[in-house]
Amino acid sequence: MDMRNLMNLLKSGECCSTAMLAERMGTTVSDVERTLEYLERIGVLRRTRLGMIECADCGSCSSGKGGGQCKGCMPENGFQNMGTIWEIADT
Amino acid sequence: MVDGKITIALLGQPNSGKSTLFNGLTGLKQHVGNWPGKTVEKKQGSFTHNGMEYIVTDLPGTYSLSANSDEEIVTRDYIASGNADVVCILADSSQLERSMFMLADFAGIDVPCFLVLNLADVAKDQGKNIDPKKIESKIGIPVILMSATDVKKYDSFFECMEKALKDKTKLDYSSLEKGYETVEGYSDLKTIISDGLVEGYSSTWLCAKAVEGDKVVRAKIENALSGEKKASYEKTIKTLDKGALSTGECKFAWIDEILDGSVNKVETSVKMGKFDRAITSKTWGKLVVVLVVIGGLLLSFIPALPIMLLGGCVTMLDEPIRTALTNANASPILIGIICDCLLMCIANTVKMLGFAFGITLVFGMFEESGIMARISYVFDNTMSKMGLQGKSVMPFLVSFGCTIGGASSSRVIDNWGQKILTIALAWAVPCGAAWAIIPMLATSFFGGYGVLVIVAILVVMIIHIWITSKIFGRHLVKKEDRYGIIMELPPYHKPKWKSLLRYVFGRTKDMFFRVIKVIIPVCLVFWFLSYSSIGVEGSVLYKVGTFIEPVTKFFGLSWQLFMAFIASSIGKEGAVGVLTALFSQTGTIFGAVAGSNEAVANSTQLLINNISGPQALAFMFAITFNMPCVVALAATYQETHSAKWTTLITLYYEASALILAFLAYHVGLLIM
Ligand SMILES: Nc1nc2c(ncn2[C@@H]2O[C@H](COP(=O)(O)OP(=O)(O)OP(=O)(O)O)[C@@H](O)[C@H]2O)c(=O)[nH]1
Repeated sequence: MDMRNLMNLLKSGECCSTAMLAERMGTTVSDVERTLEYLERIGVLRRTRLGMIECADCGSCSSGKGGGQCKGCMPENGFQNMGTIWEIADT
Repeated sequence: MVDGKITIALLGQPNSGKSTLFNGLTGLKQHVGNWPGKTVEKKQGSFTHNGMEYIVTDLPGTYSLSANSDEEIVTRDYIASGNADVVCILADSSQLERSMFMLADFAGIDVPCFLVLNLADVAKDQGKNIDPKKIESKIGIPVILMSATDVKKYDSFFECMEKALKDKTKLDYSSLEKGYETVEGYSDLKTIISDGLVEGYSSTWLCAKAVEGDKVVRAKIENALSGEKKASYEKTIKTLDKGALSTGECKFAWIDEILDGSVNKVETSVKMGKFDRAITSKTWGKLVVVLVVIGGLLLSFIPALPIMLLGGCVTMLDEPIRTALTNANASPILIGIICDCLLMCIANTVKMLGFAFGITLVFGMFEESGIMARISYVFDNTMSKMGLQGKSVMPFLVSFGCTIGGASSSRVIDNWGQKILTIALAWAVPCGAAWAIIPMLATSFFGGYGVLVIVAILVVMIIHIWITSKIFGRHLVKKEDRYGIIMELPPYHKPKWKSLLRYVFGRTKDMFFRVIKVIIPVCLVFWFLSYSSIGVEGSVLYKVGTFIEPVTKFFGLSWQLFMAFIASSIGKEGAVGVLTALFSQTGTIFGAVAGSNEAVANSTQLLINNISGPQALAFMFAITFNMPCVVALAATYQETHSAKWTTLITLYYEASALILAFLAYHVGLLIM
């Protein structure tokens, strides 16, 4: 997969899912995945796992007050199913 | 060879099964220490086979052999030092195209080696048919397909190992090298760097790493060079940019070349599902998502209805309690406090919880099943067009529950301008309290048509966010900060009902207490302010109210509604407290306003009789898009550290809420 092409795609503000990217680049999803993994390793991309994890002290529930993870805001081990995003790393 | 013992090093990515193989070979004969001068764990063990004694070194599991970490440096230095007689490279057969990367990164370190394709059982279960002999013929080293967990079948492993030791088999990477030759700067470096310039490494490996920008290797090469060569090396290096992209491509291409024809997979190609295709479509994506969200909201009414009815039942207690208290000669003030404030507050809170419960349940279901990720994907897409990072989607989603949480979760955004913009936009997302109050009011006033109000609010929310991003975005994010994203959508799941329900109930309970804490004090204060024994004119509130009414009328809000609007800045539920107080039966205000004292069933009825449809509509928009609450304001300040922007955002929302109220009122007048 052409990595420079991929980076240009991102720089142009394009958004797509891994499946779409595979289709566009005429390759497989697993090729896309390993490429993203590689680009993350070399520090070109940044990966964020989306999930409702950053909810300490939200104040909206009884368990959020003392800091730490707010249990009232998500089911145990839940809300981790929001997918993963890659974006260009700032450096 | 040390003291007649042969040393084998195990090299592989994490989870390739190194430890499993290590344990399988050495059993209990192992000891753990540290690599000299490093806090990296060194595991060694020993075993005998065919009368020979072997020492096994389990190298740290790393992704590659770059200079990214101590582990990687320790690993490559050890291999290149020649301390091991043979290197056993492990790859995960279930994902060879990925895990053979280690082999590709190793290529060029000149030591005898062989390749273990581990986790053969897993690959077999996937329907993969791997031909190790074919791979062997392509790379020139012994290759074995095995399962490290199956200790009884290590015979062929030993065979492989002995062959590698006897023939000193080296990896054939000529075709990888051909790839490298197309990489900018590689061939130039090749004329400068010779084999063994840095001991243990071939010029191919050194040049590739130098192109990639490996700092440690570059420094070593620079030290080893001198004079003219050094100068031209430095010159070449300066011209290189992001060489790792090109060499990475070469490595993956080489892996694919090896695997081509060697792995036959019964192709179960994952085609994009219909839904995924729909939402990722440029034309339909947003529409589909909007429809799904609206569908979710409608669905929320199903679990909400029973709870809303329960709230209605609480209202019915009003009559018997009032009669009982009157018969017991209780003072009107006491009756007012108990029936008009406490009881009605509880009833309204329960009604509010209905929809909050429903929406939490339905959206929890969406999340667990993977639909929410797809919704956020479409948001993401839009998000980056507004100049925000993909990460901003989290503060937005959290804001549907609570804006305070939304503001706090913007902490992950490292660009200051984008962070402020995210918070500014997250304010436009109606929070959990709004989602509780609006449906309650909407269904009270408009019955089944209440749903349309909710849909309208959603649509306005989208437009609001868009306009706000234009207004604030210009000052906060630069054009060049706007980048795209790639998202991996999670597979669909069945929701885990038990934990989901526990969460929804917990959240509803929390909300009940939180709402009650605000609503009752607010209600009591306003009730007393509006209560007067000498008639309407005596109450403070009435005087203030009638004084400001000419202005508030302009926005379609009667003075009572306007006061509720102001109270909603403290917390949305405050608005309900104010309304409950001002439209109570014993409060003198109502009598004065309505000009009659006709008895009505309860204060909800009273509310409906005295507020027109357009007014109600204006009010709902006003409180939904008002500032979320004072705590959210504080959280915003805490995250932005900017009094200027916090003030700007607050004023902007107060003003835009009133403008929206004005518009809603006039639209209401037209259609009702
Ligand atoms: N089914 C199956 N599982 C295996 C096999 N080899 C290893 N595993 C499992 O894969 C997982 C990872 O194996 P490890 O041996 O810990 O992998 P590692 O390469 O040492 O990983 P790090 O310690 O992170 O470097 C463990 O749960 C093993 O039980 C195999 O041949 N078949």
